[in-house]
Amino acid sequence: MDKKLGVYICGGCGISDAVDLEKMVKVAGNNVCKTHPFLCGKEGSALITNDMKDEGVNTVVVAACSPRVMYDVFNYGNDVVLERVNIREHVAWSQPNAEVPAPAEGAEAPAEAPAAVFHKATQMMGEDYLRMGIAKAQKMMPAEPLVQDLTKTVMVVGGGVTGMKAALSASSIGYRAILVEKTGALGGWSAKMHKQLPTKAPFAALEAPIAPELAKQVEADANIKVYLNAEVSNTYGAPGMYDVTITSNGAANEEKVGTIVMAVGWTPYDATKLADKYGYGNLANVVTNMQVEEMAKAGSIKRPSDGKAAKNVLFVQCAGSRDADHLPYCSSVCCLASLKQASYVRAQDGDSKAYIIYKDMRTPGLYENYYKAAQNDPGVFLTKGEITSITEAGNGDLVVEIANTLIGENIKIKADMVVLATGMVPNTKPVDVDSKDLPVRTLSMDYADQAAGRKIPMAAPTLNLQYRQGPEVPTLEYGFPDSHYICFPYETQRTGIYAAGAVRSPMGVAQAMNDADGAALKAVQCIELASRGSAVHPRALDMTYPEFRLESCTQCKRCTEECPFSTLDEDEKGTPKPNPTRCRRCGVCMGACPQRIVSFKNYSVDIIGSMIKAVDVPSDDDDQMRFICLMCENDAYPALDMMGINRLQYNNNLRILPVRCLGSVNVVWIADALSRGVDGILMAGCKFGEDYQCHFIKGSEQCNKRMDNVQETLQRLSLEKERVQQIQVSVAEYDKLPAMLDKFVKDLKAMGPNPFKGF
Amino acid sequence: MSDIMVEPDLNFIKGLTASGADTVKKCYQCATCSVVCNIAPEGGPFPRKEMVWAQWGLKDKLAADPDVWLCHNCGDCTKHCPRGAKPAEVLGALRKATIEKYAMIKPLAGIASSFAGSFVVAAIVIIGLLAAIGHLNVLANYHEVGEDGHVNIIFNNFLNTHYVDAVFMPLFMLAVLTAGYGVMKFWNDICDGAGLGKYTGRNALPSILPTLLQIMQHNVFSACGVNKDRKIPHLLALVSFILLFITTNWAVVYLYVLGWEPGSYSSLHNPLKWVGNIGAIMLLAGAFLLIRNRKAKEATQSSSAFDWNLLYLILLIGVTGFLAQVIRMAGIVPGAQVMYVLHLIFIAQLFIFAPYSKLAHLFYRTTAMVFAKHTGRDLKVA
Repeated sequence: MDKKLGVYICGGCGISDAVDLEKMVKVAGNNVCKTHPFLCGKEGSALITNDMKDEGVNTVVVAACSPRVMYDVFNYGNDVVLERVNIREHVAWSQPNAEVPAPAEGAEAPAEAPAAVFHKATQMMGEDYLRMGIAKAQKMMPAEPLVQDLTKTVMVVGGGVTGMKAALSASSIGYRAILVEKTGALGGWSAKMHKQLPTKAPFAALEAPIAPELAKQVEADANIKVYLNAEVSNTYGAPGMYDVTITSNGAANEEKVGTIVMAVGWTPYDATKLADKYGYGNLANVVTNMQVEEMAKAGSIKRPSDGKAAKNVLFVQCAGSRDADHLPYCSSVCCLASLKQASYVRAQDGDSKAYIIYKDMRTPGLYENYYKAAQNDPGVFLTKGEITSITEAGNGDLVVEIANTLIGENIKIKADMVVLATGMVPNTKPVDVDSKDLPVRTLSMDYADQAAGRKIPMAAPTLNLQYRQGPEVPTLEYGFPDSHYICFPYETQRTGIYAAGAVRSPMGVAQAMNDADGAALKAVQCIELASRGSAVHPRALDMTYPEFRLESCTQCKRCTEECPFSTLDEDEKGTPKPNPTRCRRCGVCMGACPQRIVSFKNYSVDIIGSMIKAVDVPSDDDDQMRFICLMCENDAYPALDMMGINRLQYNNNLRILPVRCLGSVNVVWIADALSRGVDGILMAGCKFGEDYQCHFIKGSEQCNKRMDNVQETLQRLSLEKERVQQIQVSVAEYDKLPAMLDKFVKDLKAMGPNPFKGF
Repeated sequence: MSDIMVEPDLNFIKGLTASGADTVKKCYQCATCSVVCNIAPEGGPFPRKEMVWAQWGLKDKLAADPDVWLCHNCGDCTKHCPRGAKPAEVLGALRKATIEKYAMIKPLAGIASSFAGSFVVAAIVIIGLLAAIGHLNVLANYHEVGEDGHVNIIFNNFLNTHYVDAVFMPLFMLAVLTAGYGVMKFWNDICDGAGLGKYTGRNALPSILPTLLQIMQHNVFSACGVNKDRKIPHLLALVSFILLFITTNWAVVYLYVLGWEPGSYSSLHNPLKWVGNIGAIMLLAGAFLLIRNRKAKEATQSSSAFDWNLLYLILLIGVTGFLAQVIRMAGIVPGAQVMYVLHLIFIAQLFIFAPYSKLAHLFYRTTAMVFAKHTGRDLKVA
């Protein structure tokens, strides 16, 4: 492509008060370069489009506001290379602006007000950013989206409420769905319930279980194909092109699917593990909440020992939940389930009594209304308390001793039956490992496990993926298959595979149905974006993808191992086999590759290297030492924008260089920068480790791990290891960012300039 | 602490619910009530614990709980309760339950919550008295016409004061005795509940005078938040009771110590009448203001029939007494007599039901406050 560069500098929003636009224009050299006081306006926009038409400009550099705004105005399609240089938030709004110089002491006031003088350091910064942008634009190539005809069928694994609803949801917006259910009937746990918790306002009255109704709808829907007694025995391929083998009633069926919703549900916590604690299995009349549900569905709640109708029933909340020895988490529905079952007991006999002994009554959201309604029954008795013993008192009656109650003393209650409100275990929980032994998994633990020869637990067999990094989706805390619970609901750590319902998080029917809709829509969104050649979450609408110059590959497998999403498969020799629709375009492979064979059309080792080279490094100015800040585009960069919006200033010795993820940082940039005399490099990215915030799961952690290599490089150059540092910053911490950046600069200035300066 | 076997009494809960505590089950034990209460003592403040005991139907625990009575029904808890559980109203219902539990004559306690029922009982007593002395026709003339033609009504001629005293003195003694019975049982139960020993632990005599002084100061009422303006009306009612008690005893002195003729002191020139009339005016003002306060707060603080009965009874005693005097002086014979009989019936109603109506708070709250002083759990005051 023959490039014709056009550089357009905006003077609006205070930019012309901060930098001298005439001098900025000189930076553009021989390229077309124009300034406009209002570039995003009609006239300003026309300036650019006319040049494209009349002058043949096909590579546009817009030096104006942050690329995070006005992206709809400065949008010229995939065929035009566009680079946005942020001289508004990162310069004009966060650096000293031009000032009128104070008159010399004793001097007479001049007749005319003197002109404002631009701040030298601010000007240097603006010019550097423009040079970097031009350098980048010169190397970038237009994106060539991989537009493909993909299979758009949604495969839903699990035929419970979530699975049925997800299939119906996909079908309702015109997508074919395949529903795979391991048992002989649709319905899941919901079908076993006597009644279900309210699913609609005012969330105060119990309802008939919805499973039969959903099953009817699924069966009537021609767009949904159901496999019963089935499991997914093989999933080969990538989003939009999966070849799936579904074994149903012993026969193998081949299906082509585009995306997968995992609605594989939950299992009640194994109450036999509570034998010592609550006597389950030893005392006949200690039962679980699912047993009560089955009894209620069968007609009446009778105690197992003698079949007598249970009149005084005591519910033990958090039976094995929020318990470091069992399930360390809260399942969020057991309190509600017990309130529900208390109403079964009360409905059976007007004189019956239901006791609920809780740790904390947890009825999230609008279920507070159900709590209120259920509690209002005179025969339902609630107290906080700890069960200290459950003993038999003859005739099968039980005496429960409870300590630390709200009643103010330890109490004893005589009950016909004790119900253990057990929690929910996701069906992805790795087999043969107890939930309590499954803490948050982080990359460093993977390393530690590998070093110690331990096998990293994989999710229980569900999808049987033919992926380089293993057959199932990785799980995080306690075996849930999420990638970042709060920020990215439904996302697993495998692109195109979405978790919904109780497998994603313990939840009840109403939430599960919402979840099903959400995951189905995410699945559809994935397949639509992928077929247009776009990345999915979190870089949606990014049309580039990594390209591998395989002739230089040494089969070191770093990229295939380090990809957070198992995008790359390998051939027998270990050469990476890209799967662009699995890829999230973070560039972790690019950061990993020692041969630098991975590049994007607009992001490569060479492009970023050229930007670093474009930074002017003053050689004899103590005030202006030069530091490069490689800044993650996901949180740190927006934080700096926020800083500018709030008119906070950051140290003018720094030059900000956005990167897709710290995981994409190639060590060679650091080596090159330092050998050019740059005084230090700061990498600002997301929090890593436990409770990580990295948008690519382990990019920032990966970067931190690679610091070992960096230290080596520094040693080779005989430089202090503190010259390269990594900080963790979230978008909410924009107000703390100036101090963080300042500290880095001050510490390094104290160390003195880079000895390579000036060579 | 040894475990107690807990057996909730469903009927007790249903009874509470029927007598004004229909919100008791709404409580979710956040303890906002105990935090916002301006008067609850530091250690084990009410009404949080009372709420859970009531929800669990632990009637024995509640009956032996002085805090039920330390509560002055300010209503701050009800105002701030995030669940609308109305702790103030629940404690009101609990007090009623306690009164019923310690009632010596249970059938009377049963009637007490019905105004009409208790009026009928009192009416039977007074009409019985009239019948005994053959004065069932209250419209008959029992007056004298003076030399100047002025109609001089002397109630003694219509209904001999000695007969009236012969009925009311026993009624008063009955009230004092039956209330005393309840108070003693209550005292024993709260002492047992607190684990106080037989002798020194229960000897609370030194705490009685300070408690009475505190009651006269009414400083607990000043500490109330939303119901602060109740202090003056309640104090008016209390002082009027005291003044009218003094007046009555004064008359007893005239009649039985000095041997005066009945009616000889009923002129407005007699200081006894001054005190009596001041008391009557205070009674009317107090009752009127208390009723008005309750009416104004009806939307936020509900009142039960139990609450209203006492207020209206006091108001009616004041009104009938005052009118009887006015009509008597105006010389309207039948009206004066009817009013006098009505007045007597209402007073009889007050006396007979004193230990079972809301008036019993006079005994039980005082006892609980003595206990609080005795055990160092003083109420907070303004």
